[in-house]
Parts: sequence; C-alpha cells; structure tokens
Amino acid sequence: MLSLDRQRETEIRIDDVSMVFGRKGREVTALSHVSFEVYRSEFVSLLGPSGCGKSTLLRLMADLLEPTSGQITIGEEVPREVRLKRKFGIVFQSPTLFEWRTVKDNIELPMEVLGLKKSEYSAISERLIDMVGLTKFKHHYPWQLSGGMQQRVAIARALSLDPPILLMDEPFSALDEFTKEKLQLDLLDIQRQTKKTIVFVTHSIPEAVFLSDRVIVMSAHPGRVHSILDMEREEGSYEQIRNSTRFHEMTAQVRSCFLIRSS
Amino acid sequence: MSGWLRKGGQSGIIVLWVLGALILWEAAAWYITDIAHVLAPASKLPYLHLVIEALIQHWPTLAEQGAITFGNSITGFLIGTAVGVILAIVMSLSRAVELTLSPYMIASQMVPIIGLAPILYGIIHDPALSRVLMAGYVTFFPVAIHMLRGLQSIRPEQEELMRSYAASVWTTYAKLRLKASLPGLFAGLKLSAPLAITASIIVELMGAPNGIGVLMLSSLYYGSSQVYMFWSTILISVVIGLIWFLLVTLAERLLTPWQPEFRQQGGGER
Amino acid sequence: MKEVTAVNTEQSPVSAPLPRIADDPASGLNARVHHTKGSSARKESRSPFWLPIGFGLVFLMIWQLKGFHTLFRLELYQLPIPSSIAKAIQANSDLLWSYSLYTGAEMIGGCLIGSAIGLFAAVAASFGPQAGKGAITLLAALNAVPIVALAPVMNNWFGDGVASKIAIVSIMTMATMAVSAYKGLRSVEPAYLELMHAYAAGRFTIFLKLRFRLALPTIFTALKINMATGIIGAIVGEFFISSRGLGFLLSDQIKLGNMPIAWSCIVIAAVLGIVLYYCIQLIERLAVPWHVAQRKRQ
Repeated sequence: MLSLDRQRETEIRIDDVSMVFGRKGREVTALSHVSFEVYRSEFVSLLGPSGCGKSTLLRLMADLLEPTSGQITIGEEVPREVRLKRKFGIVFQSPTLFEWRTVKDNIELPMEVLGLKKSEYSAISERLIDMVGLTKFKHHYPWQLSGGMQQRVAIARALSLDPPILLMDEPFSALDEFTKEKLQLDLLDIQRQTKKTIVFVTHSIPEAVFLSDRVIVMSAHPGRVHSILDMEREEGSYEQIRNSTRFHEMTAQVRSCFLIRSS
Repeated sequence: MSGWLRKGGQSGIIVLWVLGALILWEAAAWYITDIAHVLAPASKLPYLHLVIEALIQHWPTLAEQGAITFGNSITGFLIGTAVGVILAIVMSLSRAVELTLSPYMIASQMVPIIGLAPILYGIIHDPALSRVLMAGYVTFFPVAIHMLRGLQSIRPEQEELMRSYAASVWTTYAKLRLKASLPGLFAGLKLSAPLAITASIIVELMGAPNGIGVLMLSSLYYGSSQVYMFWSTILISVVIGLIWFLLVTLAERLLTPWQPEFRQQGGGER
Repeated sequence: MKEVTAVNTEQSPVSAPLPRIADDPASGLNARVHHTKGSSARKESRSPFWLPIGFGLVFLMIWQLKGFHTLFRLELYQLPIPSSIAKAIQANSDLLWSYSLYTGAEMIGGCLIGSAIGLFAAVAASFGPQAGKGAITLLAALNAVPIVALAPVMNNWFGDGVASKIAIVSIMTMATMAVSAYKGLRSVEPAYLELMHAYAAGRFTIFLKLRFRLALPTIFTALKINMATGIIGAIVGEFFISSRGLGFLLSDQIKLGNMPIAWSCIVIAAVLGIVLYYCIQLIERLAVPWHVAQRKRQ
C-alpha cells in the first residue's frame, strides 16, 4: 500500500467543476459538478468512455480551458498561475513534435520558450535523452523515429522544466501493444525516480489499473465522477503483475462500474 | 475565399474591407486631383464614380467587346482544362510518360507563355481562334500539373483498400483517384482563370481587330478625351477576372465540400 | 531531474530496468517499416533522365527538320527553326544580355518587394485573424486581375522606366505570397497550440517558434510561383510602353516580322525563369531541410 506510506498532501483540488460547451440553445454539458483531489506524488488515472469529459478535465487543469463554474486549485494557486510558472508538463495522444527540430531541439523547446540559455539547458536535455533511452537518436528528426520513440521524446520534453506535475492525455493509446508495455514500465520508473504527480487520462481499464495509485472512474452524458477506486500496486515483473489474481480482481472491480451503468 | 458564402460575420468584414478600399480610392483621387494638382490626374487615378458613369454610358460597346473576349477565353479555358485533365490522367497511369513530360511541364511554368501570344497571332491571323488557343494553352499546364499532384495524393492504404475489393483500374479512378484529385484540379483552375483572360487580351493588344483589349489600346492612344473609357475597360477586365474566379470558387465549394477549409468549424483555436 | 539513480526506499513493484531504445525490438522494427514504406510507395526515383532528354532532342529534331511546318502548313518566317533562333541569339548576344539583365532586375526587384509586402500583410493578418481574413480574401482577388489591366495604369503612375514594371510585378506577386503565407501561418494543428500554451508561450514566441516555421514551406512555394509570374509580369509590362528589355524587343521584333529574334527573347526569358527558380529551390534546401527531406521520402 504505497499510497498510504506517503503523506497525503493535496496537490490538485477539483472543486464542484462544471463545463458547458456551445452557444445558447445548443449547450453540451461536458462536466457536471466534478470534485476530487489529487495528492502529491500520486499517479491518478481518469478513466471513462469517450464523451465522459476526461480530456476536458485535463485541459481545465492545464488552463487550456476555463471551467464554466467551480474551482481548480493546484497547490495554493489557480491553473493560470501554475501554467505561467511552468509547473506542469503535458503529453498529448499525438507526440506533437516539431518536424523541423531534432530530438534534442524538441526536448529543449520549453526551456527555450522560458528564455533559458543554451549553455544552461543543453546538459538537462542530454540527461533526459539518456533517461528515455534515445541517446543514439538525439540528432534524428521526428519522422525518422517510430511512434513509440516519438512519444518518448514528448515525455522527455514534458519533463524538461522539471515540473512537479505531469498531465498526460491518452499518451499511449495510439501505440501498438508491445511499445505500450515498454512505455508504461518506463513511465512508472520515471515516476519512482522523480516523484512527479501524474494525472493520466486513458480509456483502457488494464492500463489504468496497472499504472495508478487511484483510478477516477468517470461516466458520460454528462461527464461525472462515478467512483474513485484505490489500487494496490503489486511487486513483481510485468507478467507476474498482469497475471496475478489481484490485478484481475482490481480490473474486474473497475469494469463493474461500467457494467452497472449499462444494465 | 473560404468563409464568406456561408458565414455572415466573415462576409460582413469583407464588405467593410471593400468599402474601405473604395473610400481610399475616392480619397486618393480627390487628393491628386484637387489637392496635389498632379498633371493629368484622371490618367493616374480618376474618381471611381466618374469611371462607373463612363462605364454605364459606354455599356453597349463595352459589353459587346467584353463578351467577345470573355467568350473566347472561356472556350479556350474549357478546352485547355479538358486537355490538361486527360494529360494528367495519362501521366498518372504511365510512369514513363510522367517522367518524360514532367520536367518540361515544370520548366513550362517558368516560360513566359504569354510571350507566345503575339507570335501565335502572327501565325494564325484569326483573332477568335488565337484567343481560344492562347487561353487554352495557358490553362492546360497549371491544370495538368495540379491535377496530377492531386491524382498522386492518395495514400497507399486507400489504394490498397480498393485493390482488396478487386476494383478495376477504372473503378479505382472513378471512386477514388478522380475524387481525390479534385482539390488539385481546382487549385490549377484558379491559377489559370485570370491567365486565360490575360492571354486573350494580349492577343487583342497585338493586333486583333476586336475585343476589350482593342478598346483599351485605342482609348489609351486617344489620350485625355477617352481616359474614362480607358478606365472602364480596365474595370471591366478586372470584373471579368473576378467573376470567373468566383465561379470557379463556387464550383469548388459545391464539388469538394470535404476540403478542410469548407468544413464547419469544429473546435480549432481559442 | 537531478539524479537518475532510483531512490529505492519503496520497493519497486516492477523490476524492469529503464529500457534503451537500441534493444527495443518493437521500436526498431517500426522504424524500419517506416523506411520501406517511404521508398516503395513511390518507385525508386533514380530518374532515367534520358527519357525527357531524348524527348526534348526528338522534339527539337522534328522542329529543325520542319516537321511542324509540314504538319501545320507553316512558313519559315512564321515559325523559325531552332538553328536560326540559335544564330539570332549568337548574333545579338550583347543586346540580349543587357536586356536580360534589365528585365531580370525588374523581375527580381518586383518579386522581392511584392513578396515582402505580401508576407508582411499575411503576418499582420495572422495576428488579428478576425479582421485579417477578410483583408487576405480581398488581396486574393488581386490574383484574378488580368495583368494587362495593370500595365498601362502603372505606366501612367511610374513612367516607362524600370519602376512601372517593378510595380506591376510587385502587385502580381503580393497576392500570391499573402494568401499562401497566411494559409501556412494559420494551418497549425490545435494540439501544437495547446502545447505552446501549456508552456505559457506568448503570441510572439508562438509566431516565431511555431507558425513561421510551419509556414516556411508554403512561403517558398509562393516564392517559386512568384518567379514565374514575375517573368510574365515584367514582359507584359514591357509590351506596353518601354524602350528596353526582353518584352520590348519581343513586341518590337514581331511588328518588324523578325521572328528568330522574337523567339530568342522567349528562349532567354525561359532560361532566366528556370535559373531563378532553381536559385530559390537551392535557398529552400538550405532553409527548410526537414521539409525537403520529407518530401523526398513521399
């Protein structure tokens, strides 16, 4: 029970947040009165079918959208302040790399935007490249890399300013199963080393169960929090965990949330 | 040219810009005529309302001559389009033909084709036929190149899909390639539409007996007495060019509604 | 990222080490699949350049042997044969050289001024797309204006010297650049903007680091098109009132019925256009290597 060992210090607080899109008369409620907390150094997954507002919620935390009502606090600050202080990194479903930049240049982009000097960030990006295992590819262009490698670059880029929070929007859903496994393991390793708070949007139940300390199950139309489930991280190799009874029990537990809804 | 047919807001802004441009014209004309007292102000920039007045006054002549120019260039334009499309299809079918012709097609983009207009008229001496031929000539290159690019723009998976249905070459063209090439075709048409009209007018300038270009030239030679007539011929040729361009754009919108710029806005930037 | 050494106060639930991509078979395979896809989609373009050259030679040969004259019942004074055009170029090389420089200067000057104005308009419009889009649409209409309508007006404004032709070429090239550059500057996928936004990048940074780089390929395409239109504009401008330049010589010699020289003007103008086109392409290769390389693979 790793999550209990940690101090349950609140990092992100979602407080009665609602989000309505569209103009008058044709409103679509994406999120309806959502409240929960994310603790420091915790791995939280937002899990749900499409249309449940999980990506919207992530974008609200990132200040890419503003909530119609309700409040989001990160630390003591609102998302806008957090964004301006670059206290989170973000990874999208597509790698979103700049095709005119090499791997190294792509990773250095956030530091460039911040206005750091090349001499300051060159060492940082080198270390990140090693960390995601792309040392041999640092001078390659994105189109010379496979999808998995591109997503590694995106993760390294998100880590480049060493932000305490990592926001990930279905980062592995476009990858094949083998690459996905590798990257999931890498991500857990990175989190263990860096103690990031990670909010991870996914529609894959096993992925959420495998990665998370807690899974926030959401339901659609309108987007709501269905339930919040504590996961137990087990020890052992990937295969051992995936084949363990506990893993299957947790997966079944999560899945049951959706079964109840549909029956 | 994308939004104005559909979206009220965007068309309002364009109307504002047009109004602004017209007011600017009148203001500039007023400045050089009444303030700066430039020599022969009407030949530099006449009042727009006087030009329109002259245009209405000379309407029968202008309409008649304009119709000759416009008619010939449309005929040429259509013939050129047909030839360009056929050539593009042949090139897309045979790699050898494409390899043979494509360097010349790229090079031909650089050749001042319009320079051929006087030579052609010198050879044929038939004004209508030279206009049609020249308009066709300038049309066919841009159409063929852009159409070919469109035909080749389909993704391998799309072609493989058709192959998996055991579709014949003909079906693949009808259902996939020709459709996929339409945006390219229209890009070519939009490029060549004004060129086709320019080509016709150039033929007229080089000695054809009728057409809007002849009026332009003669009113230019008569000097100040015909200055408003001269400006109306210019206005007419501009309007002809614009109408033609708008027709092509309209056809593009109707025939290729799936192009990204015609899609309903969904999301996008904030 | 101070230290990469794992802080093992907690027991790792997963014992797999951080994998290196080199021994990541899945990714390696993917990369290779990508490569083969790139080259097999379009058959290896070792362009057998003898085909076009052969075609050109045959074409010239038929022309030289008066094949077209027989076919279309033409006389030599109407359509001169290549050898006499070559002779005309040789005989008038000094004149043609100085006129090419003259016309070339008009063209390049006009292209640069027009493209700069167009680029500026596109950049300004991209910063305020609400009003800017309408202005660009209006500029696009300039594309539809026949050049011949511009030529006499510009002659009235700027006299019969270089300035009027530069003005014509500027106006013609401005619209193309404005429309293409604006398209390039605005065609950013939302995810990229969200990314820049997440880094709290300002509008200017987004422009510099994202929009402008994305627009570069379209800007170069517009420049290439402008070189071609520039030649046409300069020559048509000289048709009207001019006393120098290739266009002047062309219309003058046609009136005199001196076809070999008229044809040599066309040939020289074409060579000029092709040379300038390849100059732009060379600059493009240096400025946007990522795009050129990518295009090659497709």
